[in-house]
Amino acid sequence: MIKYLAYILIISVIVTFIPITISIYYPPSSQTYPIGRSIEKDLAIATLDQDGNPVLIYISRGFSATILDTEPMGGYKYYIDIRIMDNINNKKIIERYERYLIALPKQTLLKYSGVMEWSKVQQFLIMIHKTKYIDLSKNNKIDYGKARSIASQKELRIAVILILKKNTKLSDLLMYGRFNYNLSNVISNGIKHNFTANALLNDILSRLINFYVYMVSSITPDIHVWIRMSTVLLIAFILIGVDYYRDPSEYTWLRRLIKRIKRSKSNSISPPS
Amino acid sequence: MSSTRSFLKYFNRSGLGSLNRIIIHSTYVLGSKALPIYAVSALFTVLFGLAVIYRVYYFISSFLTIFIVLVEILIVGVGSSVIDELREGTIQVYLASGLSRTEYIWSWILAVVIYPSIAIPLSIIIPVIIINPDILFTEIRRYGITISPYMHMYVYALTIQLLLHMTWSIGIGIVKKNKSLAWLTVILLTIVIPLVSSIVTAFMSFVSSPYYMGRFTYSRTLSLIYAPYSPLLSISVLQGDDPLYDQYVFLSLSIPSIIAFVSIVLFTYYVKKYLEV
Repeated sequence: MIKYLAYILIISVIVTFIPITISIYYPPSSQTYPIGRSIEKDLAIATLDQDGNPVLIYISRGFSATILDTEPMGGYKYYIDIRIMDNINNKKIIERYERYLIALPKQTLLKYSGVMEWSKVQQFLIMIHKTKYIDLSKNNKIDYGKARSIASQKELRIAVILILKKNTKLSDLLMYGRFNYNLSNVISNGIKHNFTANALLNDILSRLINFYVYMVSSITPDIHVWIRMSTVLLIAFILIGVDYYRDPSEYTWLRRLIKRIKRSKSNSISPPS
Repeated sequence: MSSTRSFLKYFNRSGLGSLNRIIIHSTYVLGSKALPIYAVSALFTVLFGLAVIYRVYYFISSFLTIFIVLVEILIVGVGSSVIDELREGTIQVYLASGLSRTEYIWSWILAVVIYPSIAIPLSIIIPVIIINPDILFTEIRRYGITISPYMHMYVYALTIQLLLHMTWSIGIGIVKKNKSLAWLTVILLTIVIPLVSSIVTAFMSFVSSPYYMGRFTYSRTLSLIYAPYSPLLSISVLQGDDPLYDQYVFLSLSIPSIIAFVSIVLFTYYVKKYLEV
Protein backbone atom coordinates (compact mmCIF):
# COMPACT_ATOMS: atom_id res chain seq x y z
CA MET A 1 0.00 0.00 0.00
CA ILE A 2 2.68 2.48 1.06
CA LYS A 3 4.64 1.52 -2.04
CA TYR A 4 1.73 2.49 -4.30
CA LEU A 5 1.19 5.77 -2.45
CA ALA A 6 4.88 6.60 -2.82
CA TYR A 7 4.66 5.74 -6.54
CA ILE A 8 1.71 8.13 -6.94
CA LEU A 9 3.82 10.89 -5.37
CA ILE A 10 6.74 10.14 -7.71
CA ILE A 11 4.49 9.95 -10.78
CA SER A 12 2.81 13.25 -9.84
CA VAL A 13 6.16 15.00 -9.40
CA ILE A 14 7.57 13.64 -12.66
CA VAL A 15 4.42 14.47 -14.63
CA THR A 16 4.33 18.01 -13.13
CA PHE A 17 7.47 18.63 -15.22
CA ILE A 18 5.24 18.64 -18.34
CA PRO A 19 3.12 21.73 -17.44
CA ILE A 20 6.18 23.44 -15.93
CA THR A 21 8.24 22.84 -19.10
CA ILE A 22 5.35 24.09 -21.23
CA SER A 23 5.07 27.21 -19.03
CA ILE A 24 8.80 27.92 -19.44
CA TYR A 25 8.52 27.91 -23.25
CA TYR A 26 5.00 29.39 -23.39
CA PRO A 27 4.74 31.60 -20.28
CA PRO A 28 1.21 32.45 -19.21
CA SER A 29 0.19 35.91 -20.35
CA SER A 30 -0.01 38.35 -17.49
CA GLN A 31 -3.60 39.08 -16.76
CA THR A 32 -4.47 42.74 -16.67
CA TYR A 33 -7.41 44.29 -14.91
CA PRO A 34 -7.90 47.96 -15.72
CA ILE A 35 -8.90 49.22 -12.29
CA GLY A 36 -8.87 52.90 -13.01
CA ARG A 37 -9.02 53.25 -16.75
CA SER A 38 -8.10 56.77 -17.82
CA ILE A 39 -8.05 58.43 -14.42
CA GLU A 40 -9.42 61.96 -14.35
CA LYS A 41 -7.07 64.91 -13.85
CA ASP A 42 -7.89 66.97 -10.75
CA LEU A 43 -5.16 69.49 -11.40
CA ALA A 44 -3.85 70.62 -14.80
CA ILE A 45 -1.79 73.80 -14.86
CA ALA A 46 0.10 75.54 -17.64
CA THR A 47 2.63 78.16 -16.62
CA LEU A 48 5.93 79.78 -17.55
CA ASP A 49 8.94 79.39 -15.26
CA GLN A 50 11.38 82.20 -14.43
CA ASP A 51 13.40 81.40 -17.60
CA GLY A 52 10.28 81.57 -19.78
CA ASN A 53 10.06 77.80 -20.38
CA PRO A 54 6.53 76.43 -20.63
CA VAL A 55 5.75 74.14 -17.67
CA LEU A 56 2.76 71.78 -17.49
CA ILE A 57 1.77 70.30 -14.12
CA TYR A 58 -0.72 67.50 -13.60
CA ILE A 59 -2.10 65.75 -10.54
CA SER A 60 -4.53 62.92 -11.12
CA ARG A 61 -7.63 62.06 -9.12
CA GLY A 62 -6.91 59.71 -6.18
CA PHE A 63 -7.29 56.01 -6.89
CA SER A 64 -6.80 54.49 -3.41
CA ALA A 65 -10.45 53.44 -3.21
CA THR A 66 -10.17 51.58 -6.52
CA ILE A 67 -7.14 49.65 -5.27
CA LEU A 68 -8.83 48.81 -1.97
CA ASP A 69 -12.03 47.71 -3.71
CA THR A 70 -10.21 45.36 -6.06
CA GLU A 71 -9.87 41.85 -4.66
CA PRO A 72 -6.95 39.97 -6.18
CA MET A 73 -7.47 36.38 -7.26
CA GLY A 74 -5.79 33.98 -4.92
CA GLY A 75 -2.37 32.52 -5.34
CA TYR A 76 -0.73 34.96 -7.71
CA LYS A 77 1.66 37.83 -7.34
CA TYR A 78 0.17 41.17 -8.31
CA TYR A 79 1.58 44.55 -9.07
CA ILE A 80 0.09 47.89 -9.99
CA ASP A 81 1.21 49.10 -13.38
CA ILE A 82 0.92 52.87 -13.85
CA ARG A 83 1.10 54.06 -17.43
CA ILE A 84 1.33 57.71 -18.40
CA MET A 85 0.49 58.20 -22.07
CA ASP A 86 1.39 61.50 -23.71
CA ASN A 87 0.53 62.91 -27.11
CA ILE A 88 3.80 64.74 -27.65
CA ASN A 89 4.72 64.49 -31.33
CA ASN A 90 8.22 65.87 -31.05
CA LYS A 91 10.09 64.43 -28.06
CA LYS A 92 13.06 66.79 -28.63
CA ILE A 93 11.14 69.70 -27.07
CA ILE A 94 11.12 68.04 -23.66
CA GLU A 95 13.52 69.75 -21.23
CA ARG A 96 12.58 67.74 -18.15
CA TYR A 97 9.86 65.16 -17.57
CA GLU A 98 9.17 64.21 -13.96
CA ARG A 99 6.60 61.52 -13.12
CA TYR A 100 5.77 60.57 -9.55
CA LEU A 101 3.35 58.53 -7.56
CA ILE A 102 2.40 60.79 -4.67
CA ALA A 103 0.60 59.95 -1.45
CA LEU A 104 -1.50 62.90 -0.28
CA PRO A 105 -3.58 62.99 2.89
CA LYS A 106 -7.11 61.74 2.26
CA GLN A 107 -9.78 64.33 1.42
CA THR A 108 -7.24 66.77 -0.04
CA LEU A 109 -9.30 69.03 -2.29
CA LEU A 110 -7.74 69.75 -5.66
CA LYS A 111 -9.67 71.08 -8.62
CA TYR A 112 -8.16 73.38 -11.21
CA SER A 113 -7.56 73.42 -14.92
CA GLY A 114 -5.97 76.31 -16.76
CA VAL A 115 -3.09 78.78 -16.63
CA MET A 116 -1.50 80.06 -13.44
CA GLU A 117 1.34 82.39 -12.54
CA TRP A 118 4.72 80.81 -11.69
CA SER A 119 4.75 82.25 -8.16
CA LYS A 120 1.44 80.56 -7.36
CA VAL A 121 2.52 77.26 -8.90
CA GLN A 122 5.41 76.92 -6.43
CA GLN A 123 3.14 75.54 -3.68
CA PHE A 124 2.07 72.66 -5.94
CA LEU A 125 5.65 71.86 -6.91
CA ILE A 126 6.69 71.78 -3.24
CA MET A 127 3.68 69.56 -2.43
CA ILE A 128 4.57 67.09 -5.21
CA HIS A 129 8.23 66.85 -4.16
CA LYS A 130 7.34 66.49 -0.47
CA THR A 131 4.73 63.77 -0.93
CA LYS A 132 6.37 61.80 -3.73
CA TYR A 133 6.41 58.09 -3.02
CA ILE A 134 7.83 56.49 -6.17
CA ASP A 135 9.64 57.99 -9.15
CA LEU A 136 7.58 56.56 -11.99
CA SER A 137 10.18 57.50 -14.63
CA LYS A 138 12.46 54.85 -13.06
CA ASN A 139 9.88 52.23 -12.05
CA ASN A 140 6.23 52.26 -12.95
CA LYS A 141 5.36 48.90 -11.35
CA ILE A 142 4.48 48.79 -7.66
CA ASP A 143 3.94 45.70 -5.56
CA TYR A 144 0.22 45.31 -4.90
CA GLY A 145 0.66 44.67 -1.18
CA LYS A 146 2.72 47.87 -0.75
CA ALA A 147 0.27 49.92 -2.79
CA ARG A 148 -2.63 48.51 -0.76
CA SER A 149 -1.01 49.35 2.59
CA ILE A 150 -0.41 52.97 1.50
CA ALA A 151 -3.83 53.25 -0.12
CA SER A 152 -5.49 52.38 3.19
CA GLN A 153 -3.85 55.39 4.85
CA LYS A 154 -3.38 57.96 2.10
CA GLU A 155 -4.72 58.96 -1.27
CA LEU A 156 -2.54 57.76 -4.12
CA ARG A 157 -2.30 60.13 -7.08
CA ILE A 158 -0.10 60.48 -10.12
CA ALA A 159 1.80 63.73 -10.54
CA VAL A 160 3.56 64.94 -13.68
CA ILE A 161 5.83 67.95 -14.11
CA LEU A 162 6.61 68.56 -17.76
CA ILE A 163 9.12 71.30 -18.54
CA LEU A 164 9.37 72.12 -22.25
CA LYS A 165 11.81 74.16 -24.28
CA LYS A 166 11.18 77.82 -25.04
CA ASN A 167 10.77 77.25 -28.77
CA THR A 168 7.98 74.66 -28.36
CA LYS A 169 5.19 75.03 -30.89
CA LEU A 170 1.66 73.74 -30.62
CA SER A 171 2.30 71.42 -33.56
CA ASP A 172 5.04 69.70 -31.45
CA LEU A 173 2.51 68.72 -28.83
CA LEU A 174 -0.68 67.41 -30.36
CA MET A 175 -1.79 66.94 -33.93
CA TYR A 176 -2.15 70.73 -34.29
CA GLY A 177 -0.49 70.75 -37.68
CA ARG A 178 -1.91 74.13 -38.65
CA PHE A 179 -1.28 75.90 -35.31
CA ASN A 180 2.26 77.01 -35.64
CA TYR A 181 2.04 79.20 -32.53
CA ASN A 182 4.71 79.33 -29.89
CA LEU A 183 3.49 77.68 -26.66
CA SER A 184 5.24 80.22 -24.40
CA ASN A 185 3.38 83.06 -26.15
CA VAL A 186 0.06 81.26 -25.82
CA ILE A 187 0.65 80.70 -22.07
CA SER A 188 1.71 84.34 -21.47
CA ASN A 189 -1.44 85.46 -23.33
CA GLY A 190 -3.46 83.07 -21.19
CA ILE A 191 -2.00 84.56 -18.00
CA LYS A 192 -3.17 87.95 -19.34
CA HIS A 193 -6.73 86.47 -19.51
CA ASN A 194 -6.90 86.09 -23.27
CA PHE A 195 -10.03 84.01 -23.84
CA THR A 196 -8.84 82.26 -27.06
CA ALA A 197 -5.47 81.39 -25.52
CA ASN A 198 -7.18 79.98 -22.40
CA ALA A 199 -9.58 77.86 -24.46
CA LEU A 200 -6.69 76.50 -26.53
CA LEU A 201 -4.62 75.74 -23.42
CA ASN A 202 -7.51 74.00 -21.70
CA ASP A 203 -7.91 71.77 -24.73
CA ILE A 204 -4.18 70.99 -24.77
CA LEU A 205 -4.11 70.29 -21.02
CA SER A 206 -7.05 67.90 -21.17
CA ARG A 207 -5.74 65.92 -24.12
CA LEU A 208 -1.95 65.99 -23.82
CA ILE A 209 -1.46 63.47 -21.03
CA ASN A 210 -3.63 60.58 -19.88
CA PHE A 211 -3.19 58.34 -16.85
CA TYR A 212 -3.96 54.62 -16.72
CA VAL A 213 -3.68 52.29 -13.73
CA TYR A 214 -3.67 48.55 -14.30
CA MET A 215 -3.45 45.61 -11.97
CA VAL A 216 -1.18 42.98 -13.47
CA SER A 217 -0.61 39.45 -12.19
CA SER A 218 2.24 37.18 -13.14
CA ILE A 219 3.35 33.64 -12.46
CA THR A 220 6.61 31.96 -13.41
CA PRO A 221 8.42 28.94 -11.99
CA ASP A 222 11.06 30.10 -9.56
CA ILE A 223 13.56 28.41 -7.21
CA HIS A 224 10.75 27.63 -4.72
CA VAL A 225 9.08 25.42 -7.32
CA TRP A 226 12.19 23.23 -7.57
CA ILE A 227 12.58 23.16 -3.76
CA ARG A 228 8.97 22.03 -3.29
CA MET A 229 9.37 19.44 -6.04
CA SER A 230 12.46 17.93 -4.40
CA THR A 231 10.72 17.96 -0.98
CA VAL A 232 7.81 15.87 -2.32
CA LEU A 233 10.30 13.49 -3.98
CA LEU A 234 12.21 13.21 -0.71
CA ILE A 235 8.99 12.30 1.16
CA ALA A 236 8.23 9.64 -1.47
CA PHE A 237 11.72 8.10 -1.14
CA ILE A 238 11.51 8.15 2.68
CA LEU A 239 8.19 6.24 2.41
CA ILE A 240 9.82 3.72 0.05
CA GLY A 241 12.79 3.36 2.43
CA VAL A 242 10.52 2.72 5.42
CA ASP A 243 8.40 0.23 3.47
CA TYR A 244 11.52 -1.50 2.09
CA TYR A 245 12.61 -2.46 5.59
CA ARG A 246 9.08 -3.80 6.26
CA ASP A 247 9.14 -6.13 3.26
CA PRO A 248 12.19 -5.98 0.90
CA SER A 249 10.66 -8.60 -1.43
CA GLU A 250 8.22 -5.99 -2.77
CA TYR A 251 11.05 -3.85 -4.09
CA THR A 252 13.02 -6.02 -6.50
CA TRP A 253 14.36 -2.97 -8.37
CA LEU A 254 15.63 -1.42 -5.11
CA ARG A 255 17.28 -4.69 -4.04
CA ARG A 256 19.02 -4.96 -7.42
CA LEU A 257 20.14 -1.33 -7.15
CA ILE A 258 21.53 -1.83 -3.64
CA LYS A 259 23.32 -5.04 -4.76
CA ARG A 260 24.84 -3.24 -7.76
CA ILE A 261 26.06 -0.37 -5.56
CA LYS A 262 27.59 -2.85 -3.09
CA ARG A 263 29.27 -4.76 -5.95
CA SER A 264 30.71 -1.60 -7.51
CA LYS A 265 32.02 -0.52 -4.07
CA SER A 266 33.69 -3.87 -3.46
CA ASN A 267 35.25 -3.74 -6.97
CA SER A 268 36.59 -0.25 -6.43
CA ILE A 269 38.42 -1.24 -3.20
CA SER A 270 41.90 -2.26 -4.26
CA PRO A 271 43.36 -5.46 -2.75
CA PRO A 272 45.94 -4.95 0.01
CA SER A 273 49.47 -5.05 -1.30
CA MET B 1 -20.27 -1.20 23.95
CA SER B 2 -20.21 -4.91 23.25
CA SER B 3 -19.15 -4.36 19.64
CA THR B 4 -16.33 -2.03 20.78
CA ARG B 5 -15.21 -4.60 23.34
CA SER B 6 -15.23 -7.40 20.79
CA PHE B 7 -13.28 -5.23 18.36
CA LEU B 8 -10.66 -4.45 21.03
CA LYS B 9 -10.44 -8.14 21.91
CA TYR B 10 -10.00 -9.01 18.26
CA PHE B 11 -7.34 -6.35 17.85
CA ASN B 12 -5.44 -7.43 20.95
CA ARG B 13 -5.53 -11.06 19.84
CA SER B 14 -4.45 -10.56 16.29
CA GLY B 15 -4.01 -6.77 15.90
CA LEU B 16 -0.67 -6.21 14.19
CA GLY B 17 -0.62 -9.60 12.46
CA SER B 18 -4.06 -8.91 11.09
CA LEU B 19 -3.03 -5.44 9.93
CA ASN B 20 0.02 -6.92 8.22
CA ARG B 21 -2.14 -9.52 6.44
CA ILE B 22 -4.54 -6.78 5.30
CA ILE B 23 -1.63 -4.72 3.92
CA ILE B 24 -0.04 -7.73 2.19
CA HIS B 25 -3.32 -8.79 0.56
CA SER B 26 -4.25 -5.23 -0.47
CA THR B 27 -0.77 -4.80 -1.98
CA TYR B 28 -1.30 -8.05 -3.88
CA VAL B 29 -4.72 -6.83 -5.11
CA LEU B 30 -3.28 -3.48 -6.16
CA GLY B 31 -0.39 -5.15 -8.00
CA SER B 32 -2.66 -5.84 -10.93
CA LYS B 33 -5.07 -2.92 -10.45
CA ALA B 34 -2.84 0.11 -9.84
CA LEU B 35 -1.97 0.80 -13.49
CA PRO B 36 -5.30 2.47 -14.49
CA ILE B 37 -5.14 4.57 -11.31
CA TYR B 38 -1.58 5.65 -12.21
CA ALA B 39 -2.79 6.64 -15.68
CA VAL B 40 -5.71 8.69 -14.34
CA SER B 41 -3.45 10.32 -11.74
CA ALA B 42 -0.88 11.27 -14.39
CA LEU B 43 -3.64 12.78 -16.56
CA PHE B 44 -5.05 14.73 -13.60
CA THR B 45 -1.58 16.01 -12.69
CA VAL B 46 -0.92 17.34 -16.21
CA LEU B 47 -4.36 18.93 -16.55
CA PHE B 48 -4.43 20.49 -13.08
CA GLY B 49 -0.82 21.66 -13.43
CA LEU B 50 -1.76 23.45 -16.65
CA ALA B 51 -4.98 24.80 -15.09
CA VAL B 52 -3.03 26.31 -12.18
CA ILE B 53 -0.27 27.77 -14.35
CA TYR B 54 -2.62 29.24 -16.95
CA ARG B 55 -5.19 30.31 -14.32
CA VAL B 56 -8.08 28.39 -15.82
CA TYR B 57 -9.96 28.41 -12.52
CA TYR B 58 -13.33 27.51 -13.99
CA PHE B 59 -11.71 24.39 -15.39
CA ILE B 60 -11.00 23.07 -11.89
CA SER B 61 -14.64 22.95 -10.80
CA SER B 62 -16.24 22.06 -14.13
CA PHE B 63 -13.63 19.46 -15.09
CA LEU B 64 -13.75 17.75 -11.70
CA THR B 65 -17.53 17.44 -11.65
CA ILE B 66 -17.74 16.11 -15.20
CA PHE B 67 -14.61 14.01 -15.61
CA ILE B 68 -14.94 12.36 -12.21
CA VAL B 69 -17.91 10.40 -13.63
CA LEU B 70 -15.59 8.56 -16.02
CA VAL B 71 -12.97 8.07 -13.29
CA GLU B 72 -15.53 6.54 -10.92
CA ILE B 73 -16.79 4.17 -13.62
CA LEU B 74 -13.17 3.13 -14.24
CA ILE B 75 -12.49 2.54 -10.52
CA VAL B 76 -15.66 0.48 -10.16
CA GLY B 77 -14.48 -1.55 -13.17
CA VAL B 78 -11.19 -2.17 -11.40
CA GLY B 79 -12.76 -2.83 -8.00
CA SER B 80 -15.57 -5.09 -9.14
CA SER B 81 -13.06 -7.94 -9.56
CA VAL B 82 -13.95 -8.78 -5.96
CA ILE B 83 -17.44 -9.74 -7.23
CA ASP B 84 -15.80 -12.04 -9.83
CA GLU B 85 -13.76 -13.68 -7.05
CA LEU B 86 -16.96 -14.15 -5.08
CA ARG B 87 -18.88 -15.68 -7.97
CA GLU B 88 -16.06 -17.88 -9.19
CA GLY B 89 -15.17 -19.08 -5.69
CA THR B 90 -11.57 -17.81 -5.73
CA ILE B 91 -12.32 -16.19 -2.37
CA GLN B 92 -12.28 -19.68 -0.77
CA VAL B 93 -8.58 -19.99 -1.58
CA TYR B 94 -7.79 -16.80 0.33
CA LEU B 95 -10.09 -17.63 3.25
CA ALA B 96 -8.56 -21.12 3.51
CA SER B 97 -5.04 -19.67 3.64
CA GLY B 98 -5.58 -17.95 6.99
CA LEU B 99 -7.20 -14.72 5.87
CA SER B 100 -10.36 -13.90 7.82
CA ARG B 101 -13.43 -12.42 6.15
CA THR B 102 -12.87 -9.07 7.90
CA GLU B 103 -9.26 -8.99 6.75
CA TYR B 104 -10.29 -9.94 3.22
CA ILE B 105 -12.96 -7.24 3.01
CA TRP B 106 -10.65 -4.60 4.57
CA SER B 107 -7.86 -5.42 2.13
CA TRP B 108 -10.33 -4.80 -0.71
CA ILE B 109 -11.60 -1.60 0.94
CA LEU B 110 -7.99 -0.41 1.21
CA ALA B 111 -7.16 -1.33 -2.38
CA VAL B 112 -10.25 -0.22 -4.31
CA VAL B 113 -11.96 2.33 -2.05
CA ILE B 114 -9.39 4.07 0.15
CA TYR B 115 -6.37 3.93 -2.19
CA PRO B 116 -8.07 5.62 -5.21
CA SER B 117 -9.74 8.10 -2.84
CA ILE B 118 -6.29 9.17 -1.66
CA ALA B 119 -4.30 8.72 -4.89
CA ILE B 120 -6.51 10.79 -7.20
CA PRO B 121 -6.84 13.79 -4.85
CA LEU B 122 -3.05 13.56 -4.30
CA SER B 123 -2.48 13.83 -8.05
CA ILE B 124 -4.41 17.13 -7.93
CA ILE B 125 -2.76 18.46 -4.77
CA ILE B 126 0.85 17.66 -5.75
CA PRO B 127 1.06 19.91 -8.87
CA VAL B 128 -0.72 22.69 -6.95
CA ILE B 129 1.70 22.38 -4.01
CA ILE B 130 4.68 22.40 -6.37
CA ILE B 131 3.54 25.25 -8.62
CA ASN B 132 1.73 27.56 -6.22
CA PRO B 133 0.61 26.25 -2.79
CA ASP B 134 -1.21 29.49 -1.94
CA ILE B 135 -4.04 28.44 -4.24
CA LEU B 136 -4.97 25.57 -1.92
CA PHE B 137 -5.94 27.88 0.93
CA THR B 138 -6.93 31.05 -0.89
CA GLU B 139 -10.47 31.81 -1.83
CA ILE B 140 -10.73 32.33 -5.56
CA ARG B 141 -12.39 35.69 -5.90
CA ARG B 142 -12.94 38.07 -8.76
CA TYR B 143 -14.18 41.64 -8.30
CA GLY B 144 -15.06 40.90 -4.68
CA ILE B 145 -17.25 37.86 -5.39
CA THR B 146 -16.27 34.30 -4.52
CA ILE B 147 -16.30 32.38 -7.78
CA SER B 148 -15.11 29.10 -6.38
CA PRO B 149 -14.59 27.61 -2.90
CA TYR B 150 -11.13 26.92 -1.54
CA MET B 151 -9.33 24.29 -3.56
CA HIS B 152 -8.57 22.14 -0.51
CA MET B 153 -12.35 21.94 -0.02
CA TYR B 154 -12.75 20.70 -3.58
CA VAL B 155 -10.11 18.06 -2.98
CA TYR B 156 -11.74 17.04 0.30
CA ALA B 157 -15.15 16.83 -1.42
CA LEU B 158 -13.58 14.67 -4.14
CA THR B 159 -12.10 12.29 -1.54
CA ILE B 160 -15.43 11.94 0.27
CA GLN B 161 -17.33 11.47 -2.99
CA LEU B 162 -14.97 8.70 -4.12
CA LEU B 163 -15.23 6.99 -0.71
CA LEU B 164 -19.03 7.20 -0.77
CA HIS B 165 -19.61 6.08 -4.34
CA MET B 166 -17.07 3.26 -4.28
CA THR B 167 -18.38 1.91 -0.96
CA TRP B 168 -22.00 1.94 -2.10
CA SER B 169 -21.50 0.60 -5.61
CA ILE B 170 -19.05 -2.18 -4.69
CA GLY B 171 -21.07 -2.99 -1.54
CA ILE B 172 -24.32 -3.37 -3.49
CA GLY B 173 -22.44 -5.40 -6.14
CA ILE B 174 -21.14 -7.80 -3.46
CA VAL B 175 -24.51 -8.13 -1.70
CA LYS B 176 -26.30 -8.98 -4.95
CA LYS B 177 -23.22 -10.79 -6.41
CA ASN B 178 -23.84 -8.83 -9.60
CA LYS B 179 -21.18 -6.75 -11.34
CA SER B 180 -23.72 -4.88 -13.48
CA LEU B 181 -25.43 -3.61 -10.34
CA ALA B 182 -22.16 -2.02 -9.22
CA TRP B 183 -21.90 -0.22 -12.59
CA LEU B 184 -25.57 0.79 -12.40
CA THR B 185 -25.15 2.19 -8.86
CA VAL B 186 -22.20 4.37 -9.83
CA ILE B 187 -24.03 5.64 -12.95
CA LEU B 188 -27.12 6.38 -10.86
CA LEU B 189 -25.06 8.22 -8.24
CA THR B 190 -22.99 10.29 -10.66
CA ILE B 191 -25.39 11.00 -13.54
CA VAL B 192 -29.03 9.99 -13.10
CA ILE B 193 -29.86 11.06 -9.52
CA PRO B 194 -28.09 14.47 -9.81
CA LEU B 195 -29.91 15.12 -13.09
CA VAL B 196 -33.31 14.18 -11.64
CA SER B 197 -32.56 16.23 -8.50
CA SER B 198 -31.75 19.33 -10.52
CA ILE B 199 -34.90 18.94 -12.65
CA VAL B 200 -37.08 18.48 -9.55
CA THR B 201 -35.49 21.45 -7.77
CA ALA B 202 -35.84 23.64 -10.86
CA PHE B 203 -39.51 22.65 -11.10
CA MET B 204 -40.04 23.35 -7.38
CA SER B 205 -38.45 26.78 -7.59
CA PHE B 206 -40.47 27.56 -10.75
CA VAL B 207 -43.80 26.52 -9.25
CA SER B 208 -43.40 27.97 -5.76
CA SER B 209 -43.32 31.72 -5.32
CA PRO B 210 -40.30 33.38 -3.67
CA TYR B 211 -42.50 33.90 -0.59
CA TYR B 212 -42.82 30.14 -0.05
CA MET B 213 -39.23 29.38 -1.04
CA GLY B 214 -38.04 31.81 1.65
CA ARG B 215 -34.42 31.17 2.53
CA PHE B 216 -34.28 28.07 0.35
CA THR B 217 -33.20 29.54 -2.95
CA TYR B 218 -32.61 27.28 -5.95
CA SER B 219 -28.86 26.92 -5.37
CA ARG B 220 -29.22 26.35 -1.61
CA THR B 221 -31.94 23.71 -2.07
CA LEU B 222 -29.99 21.93 -4.79
CA SER B 223 -26.83 22.02 -2.67
CA LEU B 224 -28.66 20.40 0.26
CA ILE B 225 -30.21 17.75 -2.00
CA TYR B 226 -26.81 16.93 -3.55
CA ALA B 227 -24.98 16.93 -0.18
CA PRO B 228 -25.75 13.36 1.01
CA TYR B 229 -24.49 11.67 -2.15
CA SER B 230 -22.45 14.15 -4.21
CA PRO B 231 -20.38 16.66 -2.22
CA LEU B 232 -18.54 17.86 -5.34
CA LEU B 233 -21.76 18.93 -7.03
CA SER B 234 -23.07 20.25 -3.73
CA ILE B 235 -20.27 22.79 -3.28
CA SER B 236 -20.18 23.59 -7.01
CA VAL B 237 -23.77 24.80 -7.24
CA LEU B 238 -23.50 27.25 -4.35
CA GLN B 239 -23.35 30.90 -5.37
CA GLY B 240 -20.36 32.93 -4.22
CA ASP B 241 -22.35 36.02 -3.22
CA ASP B 242 -24.71 34.02 -0.98
CA PRO B 243 -24.60 35.52 2.56
CA LEU B 244 -24.88 32.01 4.05
CA TYR B 245 -22.19 30.63 1.74
CA ASP B 246 -19.81 29.39 4.48
CA GLN B 247 -22.60 27.65 6.39
CA TYR B 248 -23.81 25.82 3.28
CA VAL B 249 -20.25 24.78 2.31
CA PHE B 250 -19.87 23.36 5.82
CA LEU B 251 -23.11 21.39 5.42
CA SER B 252 -22.08 20.21 1.93
CA LEU B 253 -18.89 18.73 3.34
CA SER B 254 -19.94 17.52 6.78
CA ILE B 255 -23.14 15.64 5.77
CA PRO B 256 -21.39 13.38 3.19
CA SER B 257 -18.40 12.89 5.54
CA ILE B 258 -20.67 11.42 8.22
CA ILE B 259 -22.50 9.30 5.63
CA ALA B 260 -19.18 8.05 4.18
CA PHE B 261 -17.93 7.04 7.64
CA VAL B 262 -21.18 5.21 8.44
CA SER B 263 -21.17 3.55 5.00
CA ILE B 264 -17.66 2.12 5.48
CA VAL B 265 -18.57 0.80 8.94
CA LEU B 266 -21.73 -0.80 7.53
CA PHE B 267 -19.76 -2.15 4.58
CA THR B 268 -17.34 -3.91 6.94
CA TYR B 269 -19.95 -5.38 9.27
CA TYR B 270 -22.74 -6.08 6.84
CA VAL B 271 -21.14 -6.97 3.51
CA LYS B 272 -18.84 -9.65 4.97
CA LYS B 273 -21.97 -11.75 5.62
CA TYR B 274 -22.38 -12.03 1.87
CA LEU B 275 -18.87 -13.32 1.26
CA GLU B 276 -20.14 -16.87 0.90
CA VAL B 277 -20.09 -18.61 -2.43
